[in-house]
Amino acid sequence: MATHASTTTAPSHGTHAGVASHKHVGSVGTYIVVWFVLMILLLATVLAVEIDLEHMLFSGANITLAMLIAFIKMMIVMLWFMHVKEASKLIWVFAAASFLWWGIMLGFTAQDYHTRGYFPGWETPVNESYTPAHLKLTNAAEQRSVGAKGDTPQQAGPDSGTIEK
Amino acid sequence: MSEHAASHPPHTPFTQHGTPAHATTHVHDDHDHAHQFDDAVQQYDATSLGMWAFLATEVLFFGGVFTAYIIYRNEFYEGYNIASHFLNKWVGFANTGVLLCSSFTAAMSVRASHMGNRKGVVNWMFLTAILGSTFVGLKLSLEYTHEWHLGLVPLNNVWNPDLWIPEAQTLMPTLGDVNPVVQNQVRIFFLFYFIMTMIHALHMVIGVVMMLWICFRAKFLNWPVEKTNMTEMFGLYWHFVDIVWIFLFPLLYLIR
Repeated sequence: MATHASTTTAPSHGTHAGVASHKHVGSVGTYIVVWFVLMILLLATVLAVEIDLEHMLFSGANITLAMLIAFIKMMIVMLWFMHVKEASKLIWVFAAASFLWWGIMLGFTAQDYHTRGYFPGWETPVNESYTPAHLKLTNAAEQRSVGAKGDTPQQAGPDSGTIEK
Repeated sequence: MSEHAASHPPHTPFTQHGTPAHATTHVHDDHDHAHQFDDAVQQYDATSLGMWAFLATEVLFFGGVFTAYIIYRNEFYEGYNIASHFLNKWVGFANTGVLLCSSFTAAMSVRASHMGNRKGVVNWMFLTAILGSTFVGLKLSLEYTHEWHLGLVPLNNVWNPDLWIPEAQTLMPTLGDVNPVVQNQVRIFFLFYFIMTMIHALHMVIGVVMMLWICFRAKFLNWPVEKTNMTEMFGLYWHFVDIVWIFLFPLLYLIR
């Protein structure tokens, strides 16, 4: 099968020289280096969880670092494996636009939830945050998170009791 | 950019009537491009742009779930923290490694098709299919089964806090009493976990089926491997599925 293939493809490859020229034949060495770097970064992701950055730096530092490494991995895969590095400007625009649109989706959704109850008189009709009453925290953990965030539950406190019943 | 000029002759995407100089060599060749295109370069540009547009919609498809996950994660911090401890990060680590290796083999397969190497296309593509199947197999055998037996699957007859709460106490000794509110938060985490990993696994299964089809055609149906668009666009799809997992892994397994 293989010998048959080589006899049929070899001449056609010659006539298709113009076709082949616009496609990038990546080098094996580059692919191996890219794969090796990806595996190192994967190991770094797993090991970075063991370090308690939360107390060394700031709350959420561990997941920030993990997402940063994930972003670097994504860029490496896109640039070398998906050949964005050699792609046309139009491909760059399409590749970047999807993330821009997702950023808009995340950004506007997050600011909506984050700012609910911030402005007096702008509360939601039930005078309650978006969390359904039966899912709201009632233990000491709530007091901690509420104290840290300074969010709506304080002002909605008396009402949430009635909603739960 | 200039160093690529020699290997990449300048061409205008979507040339309507222009005939680039390098296109004249195969302008009468009917076999290197479909009849609706001027030449193979234009066909390649249209195909890859279409694939990238599809991938952009895929980013938004997964992006919707990612957005919801992030919003809930900020609100249900405690429950997500407990739930993430149930996922074995070393299984996730192994699976991520398998996927990164499969991206490498997929890139090698595309490279082989660029060189007109039929045997290379088939072998690398088949290896990629094996690695993709390994990923789905590990997911089913080591993870989903385990979560089913622990009562962590958020279906009404399967979800069972009595089974997983003792396990949670051993994983996090300082946890204390897990009240019903936190139980509901854990349930929402696993709802996200199963939806996200299952739509990802569905993409994997579709990819494996497509790979086996490409292998079959290249090996037995004398499919012209030097027409690389199919292989190359499939490679883009596979790398995209890999990238989705690159983000799912830390989001699901590594939050503490």
